[in-house]
Amino acid sequence: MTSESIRKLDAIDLEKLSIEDVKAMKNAGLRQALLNVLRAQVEGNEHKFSDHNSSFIGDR
Amino acid sequence: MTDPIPFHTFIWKVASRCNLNCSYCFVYNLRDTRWQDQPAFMSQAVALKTAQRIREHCEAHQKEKASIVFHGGEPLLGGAKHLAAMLSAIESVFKDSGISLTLGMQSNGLLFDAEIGDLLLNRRMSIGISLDGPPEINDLHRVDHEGRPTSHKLESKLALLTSDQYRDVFSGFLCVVNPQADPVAVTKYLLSYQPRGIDFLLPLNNYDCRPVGKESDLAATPYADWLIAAFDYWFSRGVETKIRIFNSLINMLFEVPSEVESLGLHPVDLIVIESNGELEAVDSLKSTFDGATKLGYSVFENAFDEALKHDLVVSRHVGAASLCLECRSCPLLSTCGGGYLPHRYSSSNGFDNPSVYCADLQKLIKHVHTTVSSALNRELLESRQ
Repeated sequence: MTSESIRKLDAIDLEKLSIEDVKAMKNAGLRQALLNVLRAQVEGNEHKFSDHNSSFIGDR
Repeated sequence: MTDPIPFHTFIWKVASRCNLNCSYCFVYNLRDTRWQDQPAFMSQAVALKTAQRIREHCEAHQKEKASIVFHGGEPLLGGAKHLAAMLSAIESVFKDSGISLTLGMQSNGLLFDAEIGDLLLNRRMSIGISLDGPPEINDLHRVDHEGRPTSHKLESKLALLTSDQYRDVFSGFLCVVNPQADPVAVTKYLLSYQPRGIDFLLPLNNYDCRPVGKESDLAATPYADWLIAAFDYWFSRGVETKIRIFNSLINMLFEVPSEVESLGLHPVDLIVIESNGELEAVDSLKSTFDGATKLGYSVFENAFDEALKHDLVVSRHVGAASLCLECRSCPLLSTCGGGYLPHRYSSSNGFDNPSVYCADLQKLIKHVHTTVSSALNRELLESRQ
């Protein structure tokens, strides 16, 4: 991998973005994806880490 | 040493037989043959003891929430009566416990009817359906015991399940990737049912049984190419339906954990209970060698805390420490997590290998992260102008 591609894979800090900022985004795919990330950040993962690969019960 | 992470998700093999004979099924058609020794259905006694063990485990670890997933075989094979008996066992143990249970099942959907739909609504249990795409794709592998296609019947069941009456219990689709299918056509078809979620699964191949399209060249990336096309279609549409593999990769770009055991380095907090009450670390290991899932424990003899100490369970709690040297030195390690455990297997080297899909995972991860990063940078630039 190039250093550029590694840099692009570094984690992105979402703290500076509010949910209103995200909802106002024009790119609908990005908007939906970031809303999911924000939801996951708020809800946290104190109770559950990982879904069973061979099941989809949609409890997130 | 840190305390072991308690189990959260309990996969119940309520039936160990199936009305389908899918060619890629890890229970019946790959390496493991132990299903033949299992009772066809989980009994009331096993269900009751399993529920008691789960409550005991939750109370020992002060857990207020847990998930129970009915799986098989086909969990609807015993009909509404068997399903109700399993749920009654759970209710009798957990009433007044203060523990909140999430209930779900993974089914092929062919036995779904109004009686089962009403039962699921009444007991607040969701149902995920296994479906590989439109009929011409789904019927390549998902056939009955006479080799006959099943899609036509399933589509009529899906019409009922996705009706206003039962849509609340419909959680989504699991779809096994077929690199010879059109990824956009498959994605469009699944999205046409407006599911809450979808996941695309890589077939349960390994180094001894290489994936279709990678038989002679593990550097080939037909699965990445397929998933990238599906991702680009999904991301460009901005639909509300989640696709678990894609959402997990995006989550990890923002240091939010993966949602699924096959990606990332977070602990795997699930365990499988066979129809006779035996415990298994993860059922999909049946794809690797006969007896791979066997822990040697049973709900009748052992508490779940004993299983927490088993090497196979511990290995999925320790992140990178259980991975091969090549994975540990990879810059994508925290996202990939070495890929899914069964995909790492070779008879010569056990699980001490990168995923047989390593090249695909690298290409997919880079594409998803680059696409999302670029889109976010564009949005941020435009918002400043």
